[in-house]
Amino acid sequence: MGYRIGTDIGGTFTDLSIASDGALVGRFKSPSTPGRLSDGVLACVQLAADALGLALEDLLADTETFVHGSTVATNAVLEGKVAKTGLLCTRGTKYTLWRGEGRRNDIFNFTQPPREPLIAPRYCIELDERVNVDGEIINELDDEDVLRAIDILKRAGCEAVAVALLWSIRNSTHERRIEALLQQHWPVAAVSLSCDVQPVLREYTRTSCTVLNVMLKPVVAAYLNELEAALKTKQLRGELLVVSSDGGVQPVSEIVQRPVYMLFSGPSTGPAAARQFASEEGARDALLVDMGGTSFDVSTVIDGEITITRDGRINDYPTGIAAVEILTLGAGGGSLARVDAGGLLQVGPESAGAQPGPACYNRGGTRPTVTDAYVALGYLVPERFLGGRMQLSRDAAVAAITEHVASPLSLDIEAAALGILRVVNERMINGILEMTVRRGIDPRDLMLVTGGGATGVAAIELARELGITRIIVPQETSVLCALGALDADLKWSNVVSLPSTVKNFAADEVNASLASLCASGADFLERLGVDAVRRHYELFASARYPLQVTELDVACPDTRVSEEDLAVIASRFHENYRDRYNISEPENDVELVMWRLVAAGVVEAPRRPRPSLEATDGTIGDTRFFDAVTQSWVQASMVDPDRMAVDEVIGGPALLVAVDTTVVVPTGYSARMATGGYVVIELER
Amino acid sequence: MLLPPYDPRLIIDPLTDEEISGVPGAVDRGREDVDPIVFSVVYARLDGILSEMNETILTTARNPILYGAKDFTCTVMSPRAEVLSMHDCLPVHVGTMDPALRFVIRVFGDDIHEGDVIVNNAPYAGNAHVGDWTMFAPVFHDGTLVAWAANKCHLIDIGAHIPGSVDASARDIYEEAMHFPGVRVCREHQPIEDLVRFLGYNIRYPEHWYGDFLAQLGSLWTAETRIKSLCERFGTDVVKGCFSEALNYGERRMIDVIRKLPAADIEVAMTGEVFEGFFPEGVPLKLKLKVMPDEGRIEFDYTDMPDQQDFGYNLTYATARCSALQGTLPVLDPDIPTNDGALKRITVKLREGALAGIPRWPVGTSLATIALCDEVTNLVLMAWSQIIPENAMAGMGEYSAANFIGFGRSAAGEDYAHAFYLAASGGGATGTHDGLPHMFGACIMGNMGYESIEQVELARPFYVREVSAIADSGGAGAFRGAVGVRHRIEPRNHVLNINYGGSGHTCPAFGIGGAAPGALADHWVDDAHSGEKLAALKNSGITNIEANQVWVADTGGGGGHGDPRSRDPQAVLNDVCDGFVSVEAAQSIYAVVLVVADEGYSLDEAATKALRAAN
Repeated sequence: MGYRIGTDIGGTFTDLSIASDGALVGRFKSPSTPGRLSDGVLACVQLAADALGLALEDLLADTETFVHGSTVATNAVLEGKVAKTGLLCTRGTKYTLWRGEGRRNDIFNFTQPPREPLIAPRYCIELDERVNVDGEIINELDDEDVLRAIDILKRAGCEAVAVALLWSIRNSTHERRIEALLQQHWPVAAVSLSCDVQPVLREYTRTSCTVLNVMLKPVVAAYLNELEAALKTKQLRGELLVVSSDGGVQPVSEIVQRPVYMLFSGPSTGPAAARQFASEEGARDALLVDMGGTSFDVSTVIDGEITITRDGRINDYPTGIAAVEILTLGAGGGSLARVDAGGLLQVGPESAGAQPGPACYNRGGTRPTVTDAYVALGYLVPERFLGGRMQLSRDAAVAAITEHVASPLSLDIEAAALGILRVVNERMINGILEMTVRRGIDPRDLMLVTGGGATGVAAIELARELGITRIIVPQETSVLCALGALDADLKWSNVVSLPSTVKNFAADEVNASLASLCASGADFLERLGVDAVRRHYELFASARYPLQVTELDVACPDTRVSEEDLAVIASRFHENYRDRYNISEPENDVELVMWRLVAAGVVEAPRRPRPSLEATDGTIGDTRFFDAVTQSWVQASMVDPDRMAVDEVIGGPALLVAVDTTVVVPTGYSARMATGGYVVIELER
Repeated sequence: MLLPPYDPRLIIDPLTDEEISGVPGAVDRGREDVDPIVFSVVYARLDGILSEMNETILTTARNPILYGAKDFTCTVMSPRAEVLSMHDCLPVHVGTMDPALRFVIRVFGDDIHEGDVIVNNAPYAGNAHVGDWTMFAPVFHDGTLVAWAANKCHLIDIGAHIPGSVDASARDIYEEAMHFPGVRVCREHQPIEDLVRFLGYNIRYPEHWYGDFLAQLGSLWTAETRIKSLCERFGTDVVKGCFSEALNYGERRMIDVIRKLPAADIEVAMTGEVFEGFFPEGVPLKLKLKVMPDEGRIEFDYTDMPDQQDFGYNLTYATARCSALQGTLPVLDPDIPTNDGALKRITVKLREGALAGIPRWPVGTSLATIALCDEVTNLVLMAWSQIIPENAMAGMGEYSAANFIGFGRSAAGEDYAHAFYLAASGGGATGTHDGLPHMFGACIMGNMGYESIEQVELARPFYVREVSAIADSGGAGAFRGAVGVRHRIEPRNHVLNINYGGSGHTCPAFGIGGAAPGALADHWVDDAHSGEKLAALKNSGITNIEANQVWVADTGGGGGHGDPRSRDPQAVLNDVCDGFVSVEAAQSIYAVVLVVADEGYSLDEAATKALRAAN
């Protein structure tokens, strides 16, 4: 057995976690390198090699699997650094992307530019063809017409072509013919067909997904090939696997064909790690909150299942692709606070970013941020930030808060700093409520798990407001996604749109389609050499009441649907529906619109290091912070959590300070080191 | 017993403490000295609750008009019937909530209890128009009234003599179908079964309707649950104090904004839509606008509007007043908190018996939320363009006959009615931005959603042959009005009846400062095969579209702002490439010369400079 490495590239840091012979042996963090991201990855691997006393090449030569999560696809779309893309579509539909879905919600604001379509109408070329709702070709495609369209896109300088025709989900003959013509007449162009990438109903969603996929193809291929080459040059023995939006991993050869599945690659492995910690603590439900510099991510695990969205979106462009559901808010350590003309305190979404950063960084920032409020209230200790590698200025933090918040609202500094936190916390709570209460989930039943280095500061206040009594802060909190990447399953998924109803079920047709979907999934696992015992298949039905158009996903008992299974699916649907919407109609029929199959090759989680059994004094000094529970400044000891022994309990007020983590333990709470090597913060009994 | 005609004061006059004192807690405004931080927190939560109410309807409704087009609005109101937030709302829905709730509160008196839901779709009882099914649920916590949850859904059918819920030819309320002037539909969170049976009997497509009804209830009860948990967290007293403070805060901000406006007292007039048999020369619309910065007040006077007519285009009290509000907010600071605290600084003088005023019982008002309401709103925008031209917005393309209701029986024998939301009108340009597309007129301002072609073809027996932008339909200007959109719809093996009524077919959306107006709306019938035009259609009527015919409809474009010859030539080039402006118009109107290059069009800078310098 050799090493297994998990990496995650973020905006500021590249994280890494590493296991050897199935046991976790280290966590590392080094700055990301935007010019050539592989440099940052290698630098981080170098840190690991150094710590293990190995040469970089020796470590990689002994590495079996190198799992990589990256926001490269996300950023390419957000920054517009994607292939120039054209669309071939049905006559009468070239404005589909421009129209979008409507539903502007900032109704009285006309001082904004129109929403940008994913690609401009000029690159959307209509073809004289039509398939109807029943899948009948009512207007035949003409090859000459396709060649004319190809010529237009060639001359416009396009490098990639999306093909998305109406009702290709019912009959893909025309899309396939166009693919053949493209291969013949324009072999260098990247091509994606809507019937392949994600055959979902609704032309806007499907077109958007297909365009995103093809525009990412060259970018993602170039990036992954470069990374793979760099790792191979340094003697990587094992396979490079890439984290996909569903929290699973795929080999490079697969993901370059469907790069849209990499859109949410970065944070998608966090929930699996959170689930692991929660289950060690005996909980099947977890709430993962991860605060970074500019954003705050919320995700959940309910009854042991990671919450999935049926339509992962970027910049509000839909994909229709199932992804780990991560709600991202523009609220982080760098979020700026301001008081508006009417006396309303607002925090974020505007952020101080990495430059100039919070006022306390002393890099020219003068406006107060959430981090400044943390410093002013003593939660972040200036001389111990990042293990002392970076000095923070408390004076600068206080000055910024005084000028921009305390004075305008006639508050003292504590009240102003607390105010900033309450407002930003409320936005976070809104996000958490959206992921929980709105779906009929009581947050008090969840175990709060933190990801990110500073989340341990906000966590206790969020928990108090939500009525959550226990919080897990993993030792790996600051590299949680890299940790999750280590044991992410190999995963493949796709859908089939085949509407029927429970009372009038097209059993043969559906089961025939499901069998072929399963065969494709099995092929994938076969290609990757996954043993039969590690293969796992899951089927979900997208269900709704007759006449509705929005579905809920229901887990099916088996990948073949029997009469008994059908009854189970229906009753699960009625139950989930009531949980979510306060109403249900158990006597009504249920429509089953779409089926989604997930084929997985299961990977075992590495064993994590256990804390020592004997107590050593982890105290590293004294400090003062403003205790939100007693609403007063308190004297508190500072403790290094990495030096706590199993079952050691530290009573609040205390501050746990590791190199990459800070955790506030207020009065009335205690921090306990669990056997599993994570800290549990809970109300003292 | 209260019998019509009702005294308009029942819907107009602000509620007094005495009138609401029968319901526990209603008079109490909560803590006065709410902590500014707690206030910010509760204020932020309010919009979250509105979003959640919206989401519930979007995901559980059964008619495309709700789940596809979002022709509905949800909000939360104070015990005095004041709207607390207009986040993600249709202007003409949220701006017409308060009169309807004032009526409900007045007629129910102390007979308002936890778990009640009351419907009001009656214009003479303060509602917008008969098709907008408005439901109110009082939210109690620990026995005291905290707020009202409210939502308004446009129902696809209300049981009139023809399918649909908007009828331009309905002369009076009896031709419009059933009005419910404040009727309890739920007690103790349970639908009142005999009443629901009555509704299900009288409304077409009852399964669809019942699903929509449940969606609306789910949304109200979601709000109730969330407000109660806010009360548990912060205390009822504090939450009510925050709601009161939200209104005060809105009013403070509005006063500040008005103080900075120039004083003005002007009159504007416009000749609106032609209605044969009523206004053959077009409706003579006229209003006065007075800005009083010292008092922090804006006053509209609609008393010179023409008299009401026996057709469905008359405005209601609620929509006449709303036209002034929704025409004013777009030109003011977009950061103003839009709630009834802010809006009470804007007053509107209305005359009884006027077309845009207080209608006299029982004249028809079926189209009160669109059509003339859009035109009057454009007149309000025009008034502002004379007072603050730099912030002003040009006219909005209107809600035309393209956005209307069709019905029929499919080849498979299924009856249906469908409201078309495939093509939206264009918005007016401002002094700094091009007009925003996808507006559906000034009463909607883009808050509705587009339908998916595939979803329409799955739900209804149509072919949607085309939905596309119309070149040159946006008013040319330094900033261009947004283009209108065309749809072409062909019934599949059956006859599609369209019952249409709209406006923007004679009076274009005005331009500002040398800019052109937007293009008019229009619609007609083509032969599906030859493309030959078979019939031109007007702004209102009923027409059959046979199988093998195509109903083609164009929505109107928005007005432009500023001299088109000063428009950035690069922007003109982009418009031509994307089909929003024709090459010919680029040269003749914008004085921009384009040449055809290999990769499409490109700009001839020298020729453009010369052409622009020439005159």
